[in-house]
Amino acid sequence: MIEYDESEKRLVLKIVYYGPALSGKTTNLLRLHDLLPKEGRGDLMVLDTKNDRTIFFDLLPLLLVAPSGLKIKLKAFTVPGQVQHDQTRKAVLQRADGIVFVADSRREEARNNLESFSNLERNMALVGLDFDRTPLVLQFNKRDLPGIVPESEIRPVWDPTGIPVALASAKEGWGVLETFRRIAGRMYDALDRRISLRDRHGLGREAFLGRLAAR
Amino acid sequence: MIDFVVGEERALAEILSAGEVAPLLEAVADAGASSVRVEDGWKRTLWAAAESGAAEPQRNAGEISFPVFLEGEEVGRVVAAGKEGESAAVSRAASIAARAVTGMAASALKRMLTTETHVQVVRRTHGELLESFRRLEASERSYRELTETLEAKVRERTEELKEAMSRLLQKETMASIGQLAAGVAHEINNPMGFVASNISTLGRYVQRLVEVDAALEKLLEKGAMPPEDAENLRSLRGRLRIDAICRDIPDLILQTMEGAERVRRIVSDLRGFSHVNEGEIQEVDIGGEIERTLRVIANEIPPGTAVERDLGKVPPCRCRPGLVGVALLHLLRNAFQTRREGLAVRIRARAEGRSAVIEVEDNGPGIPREIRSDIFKPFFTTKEVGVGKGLGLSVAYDAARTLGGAIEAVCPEEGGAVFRLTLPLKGDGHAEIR
Ligand SMILES: Nc1nc2c(ncn2[C@@H]2O[C@H](COP(=O)(O)OP(=O)(O)OP(=O)(O)O)[C@@H](O)[C@H]2O)c(=O)[nH]1
Ligand SMILES: [Mg+2]
Repeated sequence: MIEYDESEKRLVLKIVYYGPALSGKTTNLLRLHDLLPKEGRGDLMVLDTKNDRTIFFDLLPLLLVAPSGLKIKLKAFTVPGQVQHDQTRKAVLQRADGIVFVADSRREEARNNLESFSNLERNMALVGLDFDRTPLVLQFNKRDLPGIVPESEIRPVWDPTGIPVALASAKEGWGVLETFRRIAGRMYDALDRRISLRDRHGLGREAFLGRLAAR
Repeated sequence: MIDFVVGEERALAEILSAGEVAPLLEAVADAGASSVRVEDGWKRTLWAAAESGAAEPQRNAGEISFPVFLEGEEVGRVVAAGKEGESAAVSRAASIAARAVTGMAASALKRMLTTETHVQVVRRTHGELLESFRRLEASERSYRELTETLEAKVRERTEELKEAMSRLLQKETMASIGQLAAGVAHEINNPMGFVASNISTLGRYVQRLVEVDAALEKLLEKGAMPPEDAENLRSLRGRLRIDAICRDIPDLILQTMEGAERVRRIVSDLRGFSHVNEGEIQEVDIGGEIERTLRVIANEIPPGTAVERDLGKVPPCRCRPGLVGVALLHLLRNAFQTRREGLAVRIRARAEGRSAVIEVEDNGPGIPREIRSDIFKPFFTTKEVGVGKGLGLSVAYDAARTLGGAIEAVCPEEGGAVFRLTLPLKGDGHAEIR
């Protein structure tokens, strides 16, 4: 959590899109930006890139106001997936409230996915995030491409872990909002436990998701 | 050092400076605004156009305002009041200014985030470099320590090997000495057997001759011989000092027999030494063993040496007698070599708990502090070349250890040295012979 100020009625949250290089993190935010209604979201801020590869991060701010007047700002970040930007990944990961791991569904990317996932686990530990308590959603992206690992192989592996899996094609635009709703939902559950969004701020789960990610 | 969390909230005033905003506000004023300012979310004036003055501008009915956004959120407004008849132009200008401020804020924020992230990355990288440097240093240190301990280990091992070698050498020496001694003992024993038995026979024979002589003397006194013959005989006896000889003979025989007996004992002692590592475990009388050893090295005791014994009641030790002899021999020899003149050696034996304690004390120069830890090491010697091989004390030490005992050296303040040999009375604790 970036900020929670009761007296100012302000809550600032952080979602981080993590994953190996070129898995489609930036594309996810681009699509999300296009899919969400203009009111309630800011512009996508793309920090300096090099040949379209993220070297700092991308940022999409989303806004909603709870019935209690609590202003909730949710900042969605992407990290640079390239191995050498590990420090930046760590910096961005700090105080994340939810993480979307964007994996490349193609078979040949399995190894990169795994390495990036271990990197995520390690960095979470380094910045003090509890892996078991931080909301996490796994997105298998690029489902439009041939040579991808079929769902029948993905489910048996991931379902037992309790980590929700979303399938998407960020390029074609499907699965992106679904992924976002799932992470937002998990974040709501975690937040509701901590700061009673429903009871104290009159913000139910459906309302939260509806305002944040209306279809 | 800047420390921040990526995504931390920034206020408009942190992001933009008056200098950046001023030209925009001036443009609005030029378009005919009587006042123009930028307010934050709480309607506090952040910046105002120059001619609006420092004073809080009047809020009047003719004011128009346009939102300024940051990260999609309205964070302030550009507020302007038009002069009479110029409101349309002012409104247009203010609207443009608001969008321009929003754009400037966005790019300024981007710049800031880039810089801050960069700084943080550099700082972390630097920190991690320092950390890995520290780790490298630590591992280098542990390598160095490892090397040092390895060296010490090698030294220790070399020392052990040297000791083992010297023990081997010693064993070999002892074995060949033993063989030699056994051979010599055998060679001496046979003739000595003749010598001893012949002497006693000779003694008996001579006794008979003495008796004959005595009978002859009686005849002389009776005058049973012609006087001339008697006179000749008398002068012959006188010249040959037969009377004196007859008085001397028993002593001579006795002394010769004693000498022969001593030779026999020395030879059998020698034989005892030749089998140090062999032989049955038996009840060894410590006092007797000390006496025997003293006899063996009697010729090494400097003339005029005072040897004092205090061999209290020590129960017999169950062990191999040869080894006890070896330990005592070297301790005693060491004591007898500490000085040539005025030497006094005290030998004490007593029982202490389950041990026999034998102390050999000399009034020699003592052991310098710096070599005390070395004296039981093989080849360590303080004696001049040729006097000792430097094996003695190490052999004694070894023998004591093999017997399950120990030797320690004590150096009293007043000088001299005391070597204390401790042996278990029940020698079941015999260390394995190496
Ligand atoms: N076919 C296909 N291509 C995709 C999909 N998502 C992203 N891409 C492409 O993959 C490439 C990399 O996408 P990015 O979104 O820049 O990847 P990234 O994860 O941000 O990469 P880094 O910034 O280097 O970490 C781009 O050419 C995208 O168009 C998808 O679902 N299907
Ligand atoms: Mg990217």
